Amino acid sequence: MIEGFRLYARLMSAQIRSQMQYKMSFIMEFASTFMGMILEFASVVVLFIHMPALDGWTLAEVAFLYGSAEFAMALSQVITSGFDVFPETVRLGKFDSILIRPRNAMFQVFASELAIRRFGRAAQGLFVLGIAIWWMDVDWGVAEWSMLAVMILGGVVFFAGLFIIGATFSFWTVEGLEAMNILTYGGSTMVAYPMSIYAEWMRNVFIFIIPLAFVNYYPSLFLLNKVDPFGLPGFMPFLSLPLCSLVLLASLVFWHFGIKRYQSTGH
Amino acid sequence: MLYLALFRKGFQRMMAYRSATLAGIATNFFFGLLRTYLFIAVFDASGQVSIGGFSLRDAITFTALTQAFGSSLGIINWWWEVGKTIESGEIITDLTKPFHYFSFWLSRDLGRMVFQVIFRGLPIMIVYPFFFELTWPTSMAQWLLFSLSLSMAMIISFCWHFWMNCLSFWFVNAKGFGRFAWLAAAFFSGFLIPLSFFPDWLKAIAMWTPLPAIINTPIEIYLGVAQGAALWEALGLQLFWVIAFTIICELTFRAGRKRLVIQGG
Amino acid sequence: MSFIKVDQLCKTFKVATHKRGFVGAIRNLASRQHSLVKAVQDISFQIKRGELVGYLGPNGAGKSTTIKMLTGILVPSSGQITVGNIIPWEQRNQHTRRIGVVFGQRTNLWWDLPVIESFDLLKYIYNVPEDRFKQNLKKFEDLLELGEFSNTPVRSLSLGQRMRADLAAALLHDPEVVFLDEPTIGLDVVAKDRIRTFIKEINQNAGVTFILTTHDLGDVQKLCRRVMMIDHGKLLFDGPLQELQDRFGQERELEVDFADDYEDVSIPGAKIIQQQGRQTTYRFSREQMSASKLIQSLAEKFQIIDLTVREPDVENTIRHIYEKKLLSHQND
Repeated sequence: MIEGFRLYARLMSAQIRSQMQYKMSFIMEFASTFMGMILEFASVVVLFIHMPALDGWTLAEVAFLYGSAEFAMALSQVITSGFDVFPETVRLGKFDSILIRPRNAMFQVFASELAIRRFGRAAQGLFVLGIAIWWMDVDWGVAEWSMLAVMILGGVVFFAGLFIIGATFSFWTVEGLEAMNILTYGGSTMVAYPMSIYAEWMRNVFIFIIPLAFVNYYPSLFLLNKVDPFGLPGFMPFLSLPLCSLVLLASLVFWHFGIKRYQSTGH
Repeated sequence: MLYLALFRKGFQRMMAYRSATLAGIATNFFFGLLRTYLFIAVFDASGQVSIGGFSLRDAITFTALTQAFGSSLGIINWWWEVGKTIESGEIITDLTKPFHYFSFWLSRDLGRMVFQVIFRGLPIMIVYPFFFELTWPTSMAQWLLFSLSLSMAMIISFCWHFWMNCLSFWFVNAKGFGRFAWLAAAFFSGFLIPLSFFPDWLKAIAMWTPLPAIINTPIEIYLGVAQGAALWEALGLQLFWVIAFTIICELTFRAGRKRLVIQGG
Repeated sequence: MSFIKVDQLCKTFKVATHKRGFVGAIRNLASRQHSLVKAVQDISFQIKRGELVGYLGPNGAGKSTTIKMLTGILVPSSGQITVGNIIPWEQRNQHTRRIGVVFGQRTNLWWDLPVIESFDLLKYIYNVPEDRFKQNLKKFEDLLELGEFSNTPVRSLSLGQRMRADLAAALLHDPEVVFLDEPTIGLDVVAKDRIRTFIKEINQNAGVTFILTTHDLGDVQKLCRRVMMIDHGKLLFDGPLQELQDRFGQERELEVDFADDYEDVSIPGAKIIQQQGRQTTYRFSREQMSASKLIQSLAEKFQIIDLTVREPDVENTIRHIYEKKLLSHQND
């Protein structure tokens, strides 16, 4: 296990070193994504010129939702970069190179790529999140910080599960599953605002079927001492990490199923 | 004619990506839903019937139009074909061929745009009314002016992309800047929220760029927010940008080509 | 005692048949029709430790599919494979530690990293002991002359250099058997020669078993004592190279220099394959005509200055087999 982490660290540092050959390009992409995405948040700020609060959520509170959703999604995307490029890995036959190595295939996919250029978006999320934490009316004690940490972890795990599921489809189709963008990019956009603004059917889908609301909405209700508008039990915020982990678990099972198919159909 | 053939090619090329088109429509529509409910909540919280000349129904129509035509107008998708050939040096072989470079790519990209207007835009405009009530143009003239404005918006959108791509002649990492330009266009064109929602000073900054002519102008014409003199002024400004930006692109490209030839890439 | 045992190996692929058109695309989502492609049919063979086997066949014959099953990348539809008592796809971890693989078309190394760093990562992936790693590295650096480019990123290497680096990478962990898929594809003569010499050296001195697929008959001639030939998924020949040649190498060539310009130099039963000035090359088959008979008929009609009889080389033999489908006739 420890040896595995060490190997992962080695492979990642190799990734970073090889990308540092294009340092300027990395800096440019980082800076441009960071600033470009800040403009997206600026549009949220502009909306607040026309209202005092969004369904009872102040700008700082919405910034908290927005920042945490962006940060978790983008960070997850960086960590699962290998799955992001996985359709290409399969198409170019590079997955064969993985299967001839004496290591777990999924581990190797994780370690095969680290798109550090995507840090720009994560940094933007963290930046907005940081401002929100500083600005929000919350007494930050151990319980609050722990809840925040668990919430971000849950978000990363949730989106990682989705990215892996999307990538696993490339065992069947050439392109992977583009419709997955609805849940990944769409999902992080959805939870950038309070769930209470959406139609009831959308809420139900994303609370009870796909646990998107647990990525940051329920933990935020806890942190901000808000009453659950849907009247669900008070332990909901604490289900965040377990439910998000279930998504990751589902993705692992699905992956296992997909790789079997690869080995029996060939590419 | 070459350029007509290129236009058709660009259109046909898109037919190959059927599943991508279907996924794209679904994603665009889902984002439309999210944005619609956001605007409903905003109007609710503002306690006003109209913000910047937009009623709630206008705002919902705004989300429909932007989601429908955003990919066609290059706000949802970025384009780096020319930049790529400059970076790789392949452009040298293209330059030896007997066609007008700007028109070559314009024809191809217009093919893509028209495809996306029909197969990504119209489906969304057809599905939306099943969920929300939309504002529709009230006269034939308004439909025609909207079509005219949308056509000019396509050309300006292409110029914006082409011009950014041309920066690769001078800067190795133009792609990074291009990415920023693309993201900035989502904000300053009035794609994310209508420019009428902006504070005056911010709107003034946006109006100095060609970006509002890509999104804001056709939408305000469609909704009837721009009327009378304001409407003609907006169309005139669009026409100005079509001409000016085409010239700017041509000049930039020529300068880039000259630089390439002198320095040998 | 056989090291690799392959018994009645079959691999059938299900290939989806796509309906065309927009309606077709939607129907494809709902139900797919499949057709079956038999890539490998009932192949059996055994390979001893230290052998160097050439695996030949035209494109799409089933070579790669067989190699992929032997390396554990694919699972057979039926049949058995054991490599030193290990079933490749079931005990992938143990199996892959004992094998090395080189794909001629594609590198197994890290594209943007210097060669030496790729090796270093492989050391950790395979847990190669440090001293063993150094020893091997030294040996390969000498044999393959890696020194000149060991600090160059893989993407900047020439094809020949890349192949040498890939070969070294496949051998760093002391594999018992190495699979080479088209190891000399696209290389120039010098580079090919260097790689062949290296393979021979490792095979003979270290006793490593090699199985290589190739289109290059030079590889076969220089390296392989044993040849397996496959077409349409069936193993058509398995034996020494010499036997292949004796059995199928029927076409010989006769090069004749005439003393004068003759208009028609054709001889029934022999095919003119080249004509250059007064020099003409005939191809004729052992079954139809003996060399002396051909020379006799030529001498009767024309005046000859010089002539050479060329025995069939491997290339001609194999082309002959492919073109005439000789082997498949025998089996069917």
